[in-house]
Amino acid sequence: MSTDTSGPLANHADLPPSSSVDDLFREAELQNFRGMDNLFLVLMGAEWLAGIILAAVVSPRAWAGDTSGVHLHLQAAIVLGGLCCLVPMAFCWLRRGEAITRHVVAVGQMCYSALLIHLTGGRIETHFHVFGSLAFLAAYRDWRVLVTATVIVATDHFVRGVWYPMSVYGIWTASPWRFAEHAGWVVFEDIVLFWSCHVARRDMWRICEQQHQNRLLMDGLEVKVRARTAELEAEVHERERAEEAIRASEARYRAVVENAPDIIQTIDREGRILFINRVLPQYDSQAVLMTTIYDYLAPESAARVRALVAEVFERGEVRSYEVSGPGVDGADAWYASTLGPIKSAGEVSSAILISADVTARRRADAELAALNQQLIDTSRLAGMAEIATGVLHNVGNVLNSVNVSTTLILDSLRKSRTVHLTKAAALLHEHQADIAEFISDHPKGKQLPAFFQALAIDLASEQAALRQELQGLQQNIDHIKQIVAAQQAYARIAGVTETLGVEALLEDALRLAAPGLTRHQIQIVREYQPAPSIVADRHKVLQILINLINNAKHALDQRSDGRCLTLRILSADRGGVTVEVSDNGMGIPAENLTRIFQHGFTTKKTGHGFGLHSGAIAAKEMGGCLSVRSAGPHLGATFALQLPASALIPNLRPPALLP
Amino acid sequence: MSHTSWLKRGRGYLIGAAIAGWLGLMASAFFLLVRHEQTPGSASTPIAARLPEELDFRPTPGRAVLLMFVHPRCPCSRASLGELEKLASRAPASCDICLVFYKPVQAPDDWVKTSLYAEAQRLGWPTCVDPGGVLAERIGATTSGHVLIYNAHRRLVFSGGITGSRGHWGDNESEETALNVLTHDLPRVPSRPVFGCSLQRPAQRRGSTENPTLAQGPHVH
Repeated sequence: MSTDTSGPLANHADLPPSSSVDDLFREAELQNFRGMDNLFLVLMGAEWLAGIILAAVVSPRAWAGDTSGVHLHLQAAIVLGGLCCLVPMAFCWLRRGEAITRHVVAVGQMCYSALLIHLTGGRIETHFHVFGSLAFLAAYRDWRVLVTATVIVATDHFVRGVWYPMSVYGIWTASPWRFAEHAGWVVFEDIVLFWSCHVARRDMWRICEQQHQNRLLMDGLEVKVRARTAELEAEVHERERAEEAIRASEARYRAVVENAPDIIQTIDREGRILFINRVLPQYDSQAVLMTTIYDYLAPESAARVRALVAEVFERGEVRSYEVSGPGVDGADAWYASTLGPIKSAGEVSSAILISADVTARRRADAELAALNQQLIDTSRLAGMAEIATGVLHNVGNVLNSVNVSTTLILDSLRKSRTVHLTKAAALLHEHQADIAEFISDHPKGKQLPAFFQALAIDLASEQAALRQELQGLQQNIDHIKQIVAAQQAYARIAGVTETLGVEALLEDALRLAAPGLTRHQIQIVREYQPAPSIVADRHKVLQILINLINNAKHALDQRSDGRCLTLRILSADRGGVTVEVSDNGMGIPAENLTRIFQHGFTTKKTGHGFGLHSGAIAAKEMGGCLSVRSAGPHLGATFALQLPASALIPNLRPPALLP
Repeated sequence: MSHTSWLKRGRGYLIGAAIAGWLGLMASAFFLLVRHEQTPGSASTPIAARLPEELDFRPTPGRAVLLMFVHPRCPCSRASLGELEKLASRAPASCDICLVFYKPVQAPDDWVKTSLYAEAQRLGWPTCVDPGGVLAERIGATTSGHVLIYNAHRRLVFSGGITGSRGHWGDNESEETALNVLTHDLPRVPSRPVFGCSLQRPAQRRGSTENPTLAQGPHVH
């Protein structure tokens, strides 16, 4: 059983949001019933006590002579009054709000009225208790309760009116139908009370309707409030997070500023220090704020910085400068400073000055400059050494041919028949006196003419061969001169370009390397396409081609037979030319294709890793390129020299000489 | 039917039975109350047919005398006084009225000075005190509210109460009878029941005898 004692319509907020008007009305009605039950719980208890007190005062005792006992009226007030009141009170307490309770209350209240009327001898004034009770019962707003009460009071009046009219009407001779008059008045009041109940319930229904409307509005409002609250909470949360982030950022920036190795200041237009993150140990941070940045500079430096500050404030641009100033413990120091504008509302309100102590850097710069000069000198020496290496390499290649030529010449001279000429001359000297008889009669003398004729032929042939060899030797020596001159030009002057026929140039290179090729029994295949002349440094191109032919010759050394060197001349775009030198020799592994032009890379036991490297650099200097392709080991290789139509060399300083 | 439904129905029956029992108890109590109120005092004692001479009250010669015996502390006798006032007003100057108030022998004199006594004083009726109820016993009045009417010849013409029941106000047959006796000078009429407290102690009632001798006459105040 509910023990809720709150008033009607008081607890509608406890109803679920989906409650209808009917639910609200039922709840309000229940609250009213409970409230009235509470009221009657108190009222009937008071009535009971009042009856007992009244009986105790008016008729406390019944007498018999000088003896007395408790008067029956007092007993009736206790017992009968208790029956009338306590039972409904029990219902009000135990079954609050139930229909049976209010009907029991109606019965008890009317019986108590009957008791009062009875005890007062049917005093008409006591009948007002009936009407008062009906009015109270009407507060239940349940017309059925009034019916119950009316039935009880009418029955009481009827029964007592018939058998005991004195107790109800105060007269002995009342008509049995007098109850109808009393009941009529009760019914009359009932009609009014019915109407008041109806009006009260109608008003209560309207209140519930209004409350339902309010509830719907409040629900909607509550939804909005909740949504807005959630938004506000999210905003607050977001703001808190933002503030936390700002605090963290501020702390981070403060830590950055305070722990920055640089001195960070803000200054105004006059150079007054508004803020400084830290000061040198010999200064006081508060005292520094009363000074200008010029106070710490030499006069000429202060003037220069003052002008820069003025520019920053006028133009809003960043300025950087280096200036000397006081350092730690008063020692002079150099500062690299950056001065930038701080703008507010579009105007430069102040400037930020970040100064880094670059004393150590400047000292290091000076040391570095000296070191650089030393390095340059060293590099120059190294470059000279490299030049020497290149010269020796190229000269060495030519000297191979020179050596071959001189060997051939020596062989030819060693095999020369001039020895026989000496013998013939001695024989003639011996027979100087009888020269005629000796030539005509002597057997040896007779052979001398034929001998001299054959000797002349041999000497002519030998002379032609020696001349050829000496020409090749002279060319090689000229090439050596050109190599040395070229290297000297590398060191001092730009090279000389000329119009070259690629085919003639390739043949020259082949000729210069021919003794080696012949000795190695290499078959030479020429695949020359018509190609335009190019403008280039003759000896540079020649040097590249000789290198390529010599490399091919070395690659073919791995083969025992079928050695083949293929020379190709191909036309290229824009009047350029491509010269390819292919061999079917040892080939190149794929992993070496990208390294083969690097300085120092070589597969030869006696190689220096300089030829292809310098060749590639020379080709690049002429605007061309040197490339290689190979199908793999033992599958040969092809080097291609691409040259533009005009291989002008803008700067002939070799890379090795560059600092 | 579920267990809960059975419990619910059983509880309903129980409540109905309780209410029925409650109604029965109240009806029974009302019945007992009504029976008590309609039960008159003892009427077994014969009434003195003539006005006792020892009565310390000298009525107007030629006028009837109305005596009412009152227990000063009887709650029901207030109604008897009220009816007597009404009777006196309906038959003015038809008789001399005297109220005889019972007082225990040992009780002080002011024992009788209750609200009833004050009411009688207010109404201006002569009163006399009957210590120990001797006069009442002599005359045969045993119940408070007992009215005796003696005619001008001092003969008893009316004996009984003038209320319809115990402590009840209002017109009733006894009062009408008394009024008729006074207004029409009727001969003696049958006695009427008296509703009120006993003027005798219970033991005295059981031991009462017919027309006991007056040991001490009452005196009029």
